[in-house]
Amino acid sequence: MGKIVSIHSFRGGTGKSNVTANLAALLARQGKRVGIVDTDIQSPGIHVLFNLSPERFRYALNDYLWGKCRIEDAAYDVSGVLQGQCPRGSCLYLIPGSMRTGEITRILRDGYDVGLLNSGFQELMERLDLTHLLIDTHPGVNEETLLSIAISDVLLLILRPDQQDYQGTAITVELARQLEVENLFMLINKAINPQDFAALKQRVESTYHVPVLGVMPLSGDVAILGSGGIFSLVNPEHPITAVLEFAAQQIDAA
Amino acid sequence: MPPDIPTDSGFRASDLLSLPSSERRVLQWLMRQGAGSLREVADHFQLMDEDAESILLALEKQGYIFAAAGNGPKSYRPRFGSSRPAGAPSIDIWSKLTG
Ligand SMILES: Nc1ncnc2c1ncn2[C@@H]1O[C@H](COP(=O)(O)OP(=O)(O)O)[C@@H](O)[C@H]1O
Ligand SMILES: [Mg+2]
Repeated sequence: MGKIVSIHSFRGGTGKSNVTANLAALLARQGKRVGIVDTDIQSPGIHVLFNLSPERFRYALNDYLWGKCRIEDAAYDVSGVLQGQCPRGSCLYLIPGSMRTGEITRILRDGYDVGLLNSGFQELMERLDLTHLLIDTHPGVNEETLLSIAISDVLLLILRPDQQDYQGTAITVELARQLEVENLFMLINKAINPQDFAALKQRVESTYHVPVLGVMPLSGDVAILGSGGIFSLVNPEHPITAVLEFAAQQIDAA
Repeated sequence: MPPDIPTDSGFRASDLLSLPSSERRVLQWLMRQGAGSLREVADHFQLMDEDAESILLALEKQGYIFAAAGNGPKSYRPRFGSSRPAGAPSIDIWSKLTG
């Protein structure tokens, strides 16, 4: 059976969607069969990194949750970003969230069937024969997050070196421990002082007792790309790419 | 603190936090598997049949799983709570946190 990998942060804007897209692309380039689900239904966005414009997707996760389509009907092949660098047998699919205002507000108003979301994950893995299903989550603690934590083999928590992130991350770590997530990792993003990275990693590890897969600097290069592509594919020699590659490797090995 | 929404049947993810760990583990496993029989639960968790059965019965009584009808051994499936507005957890998860 494939692995479910949730990427979460307590607060928004930490880089979840960027990290998820990069890890997914790197895993697919290594020959894995990868699916991504944008469960950040309230503020979807990862489709942007794959250059999948909302006009091009007929179905979104929302349609599946309302029984309008099968989950695989909402899965779009985004392996084009790999520009041919995908070994035979690998794949890269994305299930986007709807960008229609009415469909987002309908989820907020009416909710959705969480059981259907759960079986959607399982069906997707089975029907597309995925080795990795990456879940880009909504920040904070809510039912969807708890669901994804509860069914994950791997939980990757992204945090910035920021007091608010530190406090919030402690809560998520506690929840992950209560739900006994098998593999819990952290990734620090938007760190400022490169001289301090090793010490920062050590501090965070000894505070939370969770392995930190890497420290990524606040980077002008990432900001300039502005979610307009997959950073590690566009900048294969960049130090940030090395961190992401290492993280992908560790997640695969987990 | 908003009042809890009554869970007439089915569970929400946040309900997992208030279950005894033996029941929670089985329920989480069923969430991943989709369904499982007494035999499969007992084998996977290396439990005596009686113990696996009492866990399944406890979950069934709470309305968190149901036995799907059919030929052969009973197959248990998770019963998720019905559709409710997305967002806040149904229970006071903060009180479930020790840290
Ligand atoms: N290391 C970084 N340096 C600079 N900007 C970053 C970095 N990581 C992410 N960003 C930017 O931060 C913003 C939020 O990133 P995003 O991946 O959408 O976060 P989230 O999904 O957690 O809300 C985006 O504009 C992105 O380009
Ligand atoms: Mg995001």
